[in-house]
Amino acid sequence: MPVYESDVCIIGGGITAAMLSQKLAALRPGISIIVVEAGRTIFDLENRMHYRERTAKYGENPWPGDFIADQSATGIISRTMAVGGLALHWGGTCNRFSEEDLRLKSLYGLYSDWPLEWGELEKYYGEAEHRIGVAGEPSPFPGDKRSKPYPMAPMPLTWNLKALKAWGDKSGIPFQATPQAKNTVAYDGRSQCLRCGTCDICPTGARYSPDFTFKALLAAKKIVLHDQTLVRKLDHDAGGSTIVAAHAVRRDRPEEPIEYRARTFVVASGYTWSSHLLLLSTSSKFPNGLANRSGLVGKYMNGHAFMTAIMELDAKIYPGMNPDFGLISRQFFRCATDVPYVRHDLRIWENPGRNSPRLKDGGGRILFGDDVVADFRARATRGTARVRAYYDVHPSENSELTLDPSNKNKWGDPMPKIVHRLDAQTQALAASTKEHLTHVFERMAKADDAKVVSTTEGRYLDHPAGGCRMGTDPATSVCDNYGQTHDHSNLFVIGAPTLPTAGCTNGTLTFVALTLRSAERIAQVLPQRKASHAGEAHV
Amino acid sequence: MPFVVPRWARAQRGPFTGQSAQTLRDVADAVLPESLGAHRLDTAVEEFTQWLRSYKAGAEMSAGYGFTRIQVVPLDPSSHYVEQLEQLDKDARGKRGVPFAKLDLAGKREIVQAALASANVDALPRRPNGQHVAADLLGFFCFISSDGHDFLYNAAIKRDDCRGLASSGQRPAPLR
Repeated sequence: MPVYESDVCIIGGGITAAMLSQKLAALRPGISIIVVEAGRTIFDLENRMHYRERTAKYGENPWPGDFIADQSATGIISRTMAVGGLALHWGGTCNRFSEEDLRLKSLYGLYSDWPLEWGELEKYYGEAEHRIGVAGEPSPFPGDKRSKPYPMAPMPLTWNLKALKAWGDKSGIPFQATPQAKNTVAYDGRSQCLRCGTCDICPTGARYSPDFTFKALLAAKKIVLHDQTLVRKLDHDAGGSTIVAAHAVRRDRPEEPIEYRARTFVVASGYTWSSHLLLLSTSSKFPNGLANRSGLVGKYMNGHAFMTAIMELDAKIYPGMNPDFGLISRQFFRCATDVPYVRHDLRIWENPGRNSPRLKDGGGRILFGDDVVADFRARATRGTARVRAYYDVHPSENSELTLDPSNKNKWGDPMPKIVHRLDAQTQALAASTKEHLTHVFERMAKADDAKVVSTTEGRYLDHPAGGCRMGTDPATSVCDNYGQTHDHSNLFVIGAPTLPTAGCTNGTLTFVALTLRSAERIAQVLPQRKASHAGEAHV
Repeated sequence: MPFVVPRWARAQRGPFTGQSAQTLRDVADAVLPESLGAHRLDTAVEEFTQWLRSYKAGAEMSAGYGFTRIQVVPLDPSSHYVEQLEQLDKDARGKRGVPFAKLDLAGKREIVQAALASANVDALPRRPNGQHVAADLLGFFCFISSDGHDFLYNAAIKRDDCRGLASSGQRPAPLR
């Protein structure tokens, strides 16, 4: 059986693994790092223009082969499993949380505080923005004060967004360009954005994705990457305080198990597969899995709820100018303590329009030729916008990821099943939250003779996180605020799984910021002993 | 389970040749905006034909976000296009005593309208679905073609192009 030794074994190949590898390699030059990823490597920037075209024209997967058919979970939001993870096809939105997210208990008497000071997190936000390359502009709200400017000027507003911003501002809610991991100038060896309008498959590399970081690290021989290799279980020493091995299998050589031995193991497998691996790693000493003496691995799964309004307004909107780029207002990130609690972001995007070309007019008369065009133009005189609020909700303990015995992969491992549940306080706030959001939409509508055409409530929690929440008390959390598990000194969990709550806006920048902070701790506690070169197999 | 292209997806027909290509062009006269003019009508038909030529039934589609589902590109919609085009010609000869190509615009539209009714086409498909080539051509122009999108909005949005940031804030120019 091949045995690979390294100083650090990182399980998972997404954005947090990329950022951790990059920072660790810089902090501890010469250490050996192995990154093990179940999915395949898709380092083919040269093909992305072609993928983009196939996606736009045919709806084909812009990241062919980015999933594993039998490695699926119930309740996940994306099937992507590849080197780069979900950040291969992310929209690049890089919003920060706010201090209130970390002080829910002390400010509002809700759920729980994070075991971390805002000022501490804020400085890592700045680092994350520089490492990823974020184009943004400062928020007008004092509570959003930054210690470091964005590395790039914000994405310029399209004609559509200028019109939509004018409309939004008129309602007294200030909007600005959403911070984007997209280059407004050439940055970090990647080109300036060409406004291709298909950010889920950026054909130029202007939008950050972790494959660029991994490629650079591989070229510099800073890491060894084993893709298509599924880690199925972690093993501990006799005492149980230390992880000694990760047992894996290559997907193309399923008959040949692999073992990874490392001084430090880092689970960087996202909100689903991190808890899943820990729960699978049972032993007689830990029948409920590793890092799970609290019984909280897979618990407090979180995300934020959302409500969307399609609004019609007197603005000329040309759908397709840059549909993945939008506006944000941070006005509602804060909430007074003497009103029903509600915190949310507020977003505006151009919308394809609620009136489409049609074959028959309202009277049932069939339309051909110029009549189709005339009918469409007569109905599409007003622009439409998609307005969305992601709002803060808090999980109950039994908002959980469990192992589903009815859904197994080809090795017989039960796959995860995620069921989100909200705590009683959040449930009690549901009516007032909905009322507030409806009022916000109506307020925007009134600002410029606009009209709320429809509102819909999200049927899932977006930007999910949790499952290994951080905390100071080992009885109520899985890891500390560095991701170091309470139960095993050399086992870390990083990124999304560690979040106690998912805030009220996109989480990726927060996952990265926390990871960069974890990197310093991992570098600090990593023993000085020199390991053999990563990737050397000992049979 | 490895990703397997379904058996039905492996054999595909090419698009139009000879008479069917000409009839398709005649159908374009009937269903696409006449104000496009002959040259842009030719281009629209060519774009539709090229789209069909490069169609890959069974290709992996995006699994989506939020509610994921492994899915593949549906069956080639053009499988019965040639028959549908031949039928239009037969209908023209049967009802008007001349080939479809010889009908005036109103005549062509009458024949196409009857064919769409016969095929139970009630709405424009957002992507060609094979129900009828005439509806698929018009739906393609309206929903998939970047040129068609621009024509509907009378603006050079050029959504399929990589347009750079410099022009981002400018209103798309009206079409000439």
